[in-house]
Amino acid sequence: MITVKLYSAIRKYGGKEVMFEYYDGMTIRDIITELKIPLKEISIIILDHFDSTTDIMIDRKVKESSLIHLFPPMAGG
Amino acid sequence: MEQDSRNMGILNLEELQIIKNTNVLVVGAGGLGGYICSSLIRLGIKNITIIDDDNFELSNLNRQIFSTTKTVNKSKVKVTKEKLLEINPNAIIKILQMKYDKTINKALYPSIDIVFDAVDNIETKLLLEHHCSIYNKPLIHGAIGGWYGQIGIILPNSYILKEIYKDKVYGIEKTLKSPTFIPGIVGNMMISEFLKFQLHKDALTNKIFFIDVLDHEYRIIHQK
Repeated sequence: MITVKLYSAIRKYGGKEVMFEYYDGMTIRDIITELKIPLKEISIIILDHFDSTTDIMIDRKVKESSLIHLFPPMAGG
Repeated sequence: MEQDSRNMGILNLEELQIIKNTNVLVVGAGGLGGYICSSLIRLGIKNITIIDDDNFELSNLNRQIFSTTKTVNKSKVKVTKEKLLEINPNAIIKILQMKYDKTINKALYPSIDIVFDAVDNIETKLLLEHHCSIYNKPLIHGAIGGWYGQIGIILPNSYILKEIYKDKVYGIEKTLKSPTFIPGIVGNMMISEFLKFQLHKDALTNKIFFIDVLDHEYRIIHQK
């Protein structure tokens, strides 16, 4: 199973945590599409302890027990 | 001195002098900026430059420390300067009532040691990061929205903000707004990181730290 943890405003798309059945070739994009999260609402993705921005991470393949964290942009002052 | 005595449990005299002699630029005198200025002056910092083009509004009363019914419609930088001088009359507070944009007078940069990002929009945050890279100044970054915040110390030429805000126009603050408690929490976490950074302790250097006070989740979400 794959665990996806959502943070702050992104939680409206699935709560704090969502589990997915793994399939061969599955990418982060597949998961985000399934959750119906617009890409502009995600700023940073962490996949199994590696973090980067959405454009760099989006097409990475996940593993059977991957842990993914999705963070939105924040800019208030 | 008596007014520094309660800070001396974590600072020695040499460290206090380092902090007092740091020249600081604070860009933004609203939610984050007000708390940052208040804490900088209470740390003993003598030279603070503050930039903001706004006046206080009624909608600021919920969270901006120097916003009161008496200061509504008054210049944020002028009010902030008055309040800071009430705390330390010997401080040198320079104010610029203007929008921080490409026309900013870069001559202010050489005398500055460190810059605080207390602005409320991505465009200005990116410009500030760029100027800090050009003039080789560390940038204490902060951002807030709803129950959440993020902070980090951006070293020159790391361009972390350019990465994380890439192709973004706004963030969660647009819908979650800015409740009473979050500027004080995040602004003062920026202050403690500033203190650690200046004293060469283990600070959040080139890291973005996420703060969730609703569910108490705190973690580094990006680093370079």
